[in-house]
Amino acid sequence: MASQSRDQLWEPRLWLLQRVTAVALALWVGVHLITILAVGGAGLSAEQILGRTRHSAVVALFYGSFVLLAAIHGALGVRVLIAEWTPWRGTRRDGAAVLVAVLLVALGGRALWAVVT
Amino acid sequence: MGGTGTSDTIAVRVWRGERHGGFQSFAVPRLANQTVLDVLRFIQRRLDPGLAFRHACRVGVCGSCAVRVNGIARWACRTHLDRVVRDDALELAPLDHLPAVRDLVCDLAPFFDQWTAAGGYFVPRPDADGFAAIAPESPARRAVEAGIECIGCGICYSECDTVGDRPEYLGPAALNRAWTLQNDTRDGARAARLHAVSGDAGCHACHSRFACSERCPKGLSPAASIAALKRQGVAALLGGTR
Repeated sequence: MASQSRDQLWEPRLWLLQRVTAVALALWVGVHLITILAVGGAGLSAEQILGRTRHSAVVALFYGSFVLLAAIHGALGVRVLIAEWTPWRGTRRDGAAVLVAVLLVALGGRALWAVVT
Repeated sequence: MGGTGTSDTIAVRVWRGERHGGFQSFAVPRLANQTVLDVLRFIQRRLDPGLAFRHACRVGVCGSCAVRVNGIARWACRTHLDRVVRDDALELAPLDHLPAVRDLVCDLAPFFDQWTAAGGYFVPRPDADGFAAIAPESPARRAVEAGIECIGCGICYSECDTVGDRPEYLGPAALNRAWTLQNDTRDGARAARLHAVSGDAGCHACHSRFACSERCPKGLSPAASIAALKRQGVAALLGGTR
């Protein structure tokens, strides 16, 4: 039973992080969908919706955290797939997963920026 | 009685050679209460003495005769043809995810190496003194009971997609054994074992697809053991000591 590298410390943490973000995302997606339905039912125009989202701290906080949660959760999932589908291991694999996270934050952040500013 | 609508013979396709071998067909007489092992023994004794396959006990105790029957890993000795023959045909291949030796025989060394890597062996506590008194109804002993009957046949290893995707993954049998030992109050290496199963290719690599639990001929649930190891790892991480 060799006690090895940092792996042993990282894997349970990353696994827990993915589970926690999964639970949070379930709630966030629920709120997101209910909001869409409510807005659709109210028959608001795009201009009216943007009028409500602009400079809204609530929208910025909610969707900002949504983007972060999705980026973390998605990148951790991709990290698992990389180990199963490619020979990449260690830094290469972790680096690729971090890149995915950065990309998701950039894309989500850009969309958020467009509706709150 | 071989079921209704069956003919006198069945066409059996058996894997021959090593990894780059191929299937060879044999016509085998259909008999009442015939098992896959009966078919293999018939072929070896009457049709081709060169056929290589493992078996020993013939009654589901030793775990040495596991092969893939029509694509699904099963014990040859406990698999009646009635359950698996389709259109009077049968296909027999070696277990998946293990190096081929010849015909239906594979090298189980990687499988058992993973048991060692997962700490799947008993380590006495340094303070062990005399006989341990273990209440049969205690939660720990019940947890041991749920997984202890594994005979190491390798069926779960063959059926696990994660093993196929990541050969370094410790696999369901090794992790199941590790979980029984984590509940063995006489064991003195539980912290080290939790470390051993929490590596990059340890219990967290499991996708909980439950193929191992679905296929285990003993009705065990390695997937449940693996999930329990994950929970134990999180509990240790958060400061608890389950």
